[in-house]
Amino acid sequence: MYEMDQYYVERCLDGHPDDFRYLVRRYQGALLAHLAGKLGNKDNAEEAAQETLVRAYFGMDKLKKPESFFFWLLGIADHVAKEHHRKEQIRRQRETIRSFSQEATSPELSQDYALESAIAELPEEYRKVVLLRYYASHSCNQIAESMAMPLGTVTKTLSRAYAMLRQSLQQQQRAKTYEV
Amino acid sequence: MNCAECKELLVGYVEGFLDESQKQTVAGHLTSCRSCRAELDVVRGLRERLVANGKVLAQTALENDVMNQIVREQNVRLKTPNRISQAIGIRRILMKNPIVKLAAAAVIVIGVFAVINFLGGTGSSVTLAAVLERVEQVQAFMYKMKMNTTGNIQPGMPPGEQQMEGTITISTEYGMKMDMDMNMVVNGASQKMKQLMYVLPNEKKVYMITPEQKQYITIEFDESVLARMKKQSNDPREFLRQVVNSKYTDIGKSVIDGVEVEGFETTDPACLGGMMEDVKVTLWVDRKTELPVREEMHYKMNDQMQMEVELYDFQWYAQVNADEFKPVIPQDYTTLLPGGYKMPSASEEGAIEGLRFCEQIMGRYPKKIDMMNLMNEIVAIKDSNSPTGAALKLKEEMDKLPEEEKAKKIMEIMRPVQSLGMFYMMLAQDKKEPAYYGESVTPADADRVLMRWKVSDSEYRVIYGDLRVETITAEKLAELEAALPK
Repeated sequence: MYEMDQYYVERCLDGHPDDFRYLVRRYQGALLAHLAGKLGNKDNAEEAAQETLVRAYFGMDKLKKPESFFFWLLGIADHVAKEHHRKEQIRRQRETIRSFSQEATSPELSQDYALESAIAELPEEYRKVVLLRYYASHSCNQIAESMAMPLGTVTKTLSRAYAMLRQSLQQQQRAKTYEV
Repeated sequence: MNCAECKELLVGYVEGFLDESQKQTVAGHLTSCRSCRAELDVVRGLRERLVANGKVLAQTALENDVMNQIVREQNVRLKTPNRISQAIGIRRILMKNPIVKLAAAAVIVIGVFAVINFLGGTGSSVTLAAVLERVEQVQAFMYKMKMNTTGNIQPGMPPGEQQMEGTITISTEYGMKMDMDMNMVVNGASQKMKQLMYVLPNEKKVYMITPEQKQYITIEFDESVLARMKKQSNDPREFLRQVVNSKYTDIGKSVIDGVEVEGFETTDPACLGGMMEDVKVTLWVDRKTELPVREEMHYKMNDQMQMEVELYDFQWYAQVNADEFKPVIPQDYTTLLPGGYKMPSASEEGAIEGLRFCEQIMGRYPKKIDMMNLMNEIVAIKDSNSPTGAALKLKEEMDKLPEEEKAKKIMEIMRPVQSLGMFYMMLAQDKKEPAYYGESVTPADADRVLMRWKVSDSEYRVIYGDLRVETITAEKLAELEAALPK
């Protein structure tokens, strides 16, 4: 049976912390895609996703609308990503000073970084629809419900998102070609 | 259809959300247009890429790491006193759930009755008869209570632990007053709460007040319950009759707080009304005054809850006045149940209604019908994988209600179930030999005994699987019970 996010949020608040895992399962893909697009490397994205989920768990009593759990989660993820950026900058600076001559080994990029960063560049509504559709396996009807928009709008948004993704991916491709 | 129109619909085409006529038009155009076919391949390619990436990310082993980190973090928070409140998990246990409050109150009341039971029932030895005689004459007394409960403290909650400590005043004239501090720990998170409870037989009311939350509940007692409460708090000899068959052992002399005492011990479940298991009660009586100075109780309720209770600092012959038994509820307090709550009637009809309700909502009878288990089974409905139509309808109805009306609705729903639990509890206390076979008897077993109790020396009242009721002879009952599946 498909339970709404609200159900699991209530369960957690009612003292069943273990039920949080269903929310983790449901949204880890979308969260990772979102963060990988922002942070680039795979380990950082995983670390940030974990941090985001733990923070969400402990902040759940502040969640006003349990039905918009996912969007709230993305908000937390954005905060975490910003903090990571800051930390990462400091770390890089230190590393550069320490090992100025050594070539730093580049961290492992996630499996399809090009795609994830293209998603990260999408305007918010478009990004949400793509994340829910392909990374959280929502049907268009479920998306319509959770984003409180008519089904027609969801499908239009998705079509438009495709066009933007293609454009963004092409640009990345071109930039790469110039680099070479 | 031209190419621009076709391209517009391609995402919908691969995603499958076009209607039949659109789909056919697009398909028709594609067969004749090479450029649009190329475009379709690109869209398909992107979709596959998204799906593939989504699958990879969904398989990342994040779940266990996250859950483990939550547990670690929870523990750290608990060790830091000022962060305890941040550790969630029980925020709503006490404050938002009136059933739970009632259940907690029921447990306390049972505990208190048990004390009186024991005091009343200690008449089998010469010394204890004297104790009883003295206690009977007492108009008002006070004592302190410490209670530690472990296991499934609250219906529908994971196991936890609860400590309660407080002062109780009992007056034959005014009723009972309890001033308790509770500390509940569930899932490693703890919550403290103060609760004042007044049981006022003259007003036929119970008040429960939680001053920190500025909330209160009033419960009105039905005549049947009230008559019983009056009887119990006014006539300890009633218990003497009840428990006269309990076996006690004199465990000898000891000294408590400089007072020479004599100890008595019983493990007879009958001394707690036959409702508990693994019972062990120890009573220490002052040898000079022949009044109890300390009582220790240990018992289990339906395998789910263990309780350790200590009663001490008895002040017999306490001075009380009427004002002490008038609940003070300031203007800014709110009630969780507007209009109060009427305690269900503990009657045969009420019990049958309760059974019928369980059958409708769970599709079967409850396995056991002590209050805790009933609550647990009913609360578990909302997590059921195969809910009955009635349960789904109820859930739907509940979801539609605004938050502030939910509590009242829950109480209404629970009323027949509570009737059932109370009826059985009273039969047990009255030694009417009740038995219940809900684990093996189903609504389809029309002629099997679901529940029975004694009505006279040779007759029993029986509720059958189809909820018919009949008074039958002891012989007939023996036959029926022999036919039950083991």
